[in-house]
Amino acid sequence: MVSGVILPVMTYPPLGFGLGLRVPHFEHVLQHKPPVDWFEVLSENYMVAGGKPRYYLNRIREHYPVAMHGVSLSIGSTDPLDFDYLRKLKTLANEVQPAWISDHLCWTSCHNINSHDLLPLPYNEATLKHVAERIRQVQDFLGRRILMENVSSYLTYRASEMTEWEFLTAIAEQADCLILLDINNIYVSACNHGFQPEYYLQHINASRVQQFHLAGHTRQGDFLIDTHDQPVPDPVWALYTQALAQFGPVTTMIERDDNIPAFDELLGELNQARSLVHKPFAKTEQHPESHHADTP
Amino acid sequence: MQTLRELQSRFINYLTEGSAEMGSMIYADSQAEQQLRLDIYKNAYRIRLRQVLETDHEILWAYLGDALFGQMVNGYIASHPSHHTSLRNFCDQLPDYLADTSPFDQHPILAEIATFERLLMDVFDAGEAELTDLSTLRALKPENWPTMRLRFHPSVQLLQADWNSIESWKALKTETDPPAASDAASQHWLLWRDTDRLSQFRPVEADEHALLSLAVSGKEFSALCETLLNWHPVNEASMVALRYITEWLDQGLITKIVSDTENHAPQLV
Ligand SMILES: [Fe+2]
Repeated sequence: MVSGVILPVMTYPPLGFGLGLRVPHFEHVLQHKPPVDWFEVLSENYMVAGGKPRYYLNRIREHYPVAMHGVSLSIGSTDPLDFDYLRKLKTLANEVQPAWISDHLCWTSCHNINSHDLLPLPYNEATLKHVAERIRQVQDFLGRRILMENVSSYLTYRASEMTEWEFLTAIAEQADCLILLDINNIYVSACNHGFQPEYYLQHINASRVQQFHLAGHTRQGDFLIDTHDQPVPDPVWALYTQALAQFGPVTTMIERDDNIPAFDELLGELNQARSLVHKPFAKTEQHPESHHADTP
Repeated sequence: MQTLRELQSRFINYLTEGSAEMGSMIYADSQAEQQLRLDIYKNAYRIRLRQVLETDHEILWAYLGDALFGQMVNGYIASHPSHHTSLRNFCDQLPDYLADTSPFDQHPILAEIATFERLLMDVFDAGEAELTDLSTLRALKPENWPTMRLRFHPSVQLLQADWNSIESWKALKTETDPPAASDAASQHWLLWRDTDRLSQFRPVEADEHALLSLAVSGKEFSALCETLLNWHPVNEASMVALRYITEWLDQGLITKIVSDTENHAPQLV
């Protein structure tokens, strides 16, 4: 690599507008082939030997691009990286051939106890170094760049020395990974911690943003909780509009994990997202699988 | 400044044991706000694990009722934190917990119902395998019959129920009252996933169970016929065995029929 030359970040070709693939919709999707550009699947739900989930995923994959989204990578944990999990993830990826693989910028387990929650990290130099190194290891193991998603949070550690957007930006640069920006999580965290969500967006390096998440949340007293059991609310649509103005069209999906409505209702929400995008998606011919930018 | 390790250690202890050391690690304007913020995580942890128990063991919940089930939930979550990447395995130790923990250990039917529910989950997501049919059996040369062995679909499971646990499961599944717990009639059950990917189960009689156990463990046809002599006259044993095997083929339990010659590849010199 020539020093002083900033190479463009290589992202994956955009997928358009997608939904999460959920059990109650398996049969509907296979029967009706609804006009959705792609589906996001929760990786852990398909790390089983066989049966209905794998059967439907394989059939549906024949008709749609799929991205794999995980919740158990525990990238920020101080436990050793779980290579048993990573091997299963890689095996699944070999079979599914996803457009990309994502997980969360958080930690989930410690002392080998899994909280099954997306727990926030303290944002400081030590964490930065620790997490960036682990992301690089995961990317080397999987042979591809991964996407890291910002989580909703309900507390701020005294050990934090920087803001979440500073941390996210720095992680993406140091680990050379891509960003999955969850618009709802930004809004939820902004309300819980009292920052301006627009300010968060403005500090994110657009060239690393591969995907957006949209979702709904629930109010609990003074706090907003990231529940994924409601339609996307107006303030999240407003923030999405701002994000589009700043980043241009970005691959988008709507997360709904609870209180799941009929498929057509989600399709209606997805069309609302579509209607907010006025420019075409930029096509890219670059292949992030070979993420060593200095090889000819 | 505390290390990331210390912070995560305290956080996990807070979630699993409610230890108080966590408070000093976070910003809050008041003690009350601090507690509210921490409670969001603690409640989410408990609710998530509780939901897994409720979903995976719906019938056990109905059998126990809310109060006892709630007691079980609290005890299990406290004693069995998750060591798995997937919540699919969180309740794997529940049958053992019920068998070993008071007051549940006084009612062995509870562990049996939980075992049955977990076996149904295993049947649901067991591996795929292509099935074979009667034609492979017909194509078998007479000299290969004695050494013939069967290979079963990965979803096939056998369960011995000493209590009327499955009858109780069936009653509650159709929202009727279960019979009083009884260990008067021990019964063997066969579970498998059918070709429509639906979980199936049926009782099996003693002779079929003996036959199935041997066949699943890879024993030859001659050994299968021999065990049937405990129930059937010598001139009928092979016919009875054949009748059962034909049924298993029809029900989609068998993936392969191998004879001795195919089983042992010739030695390369
Ligand atoms: Fe998300």
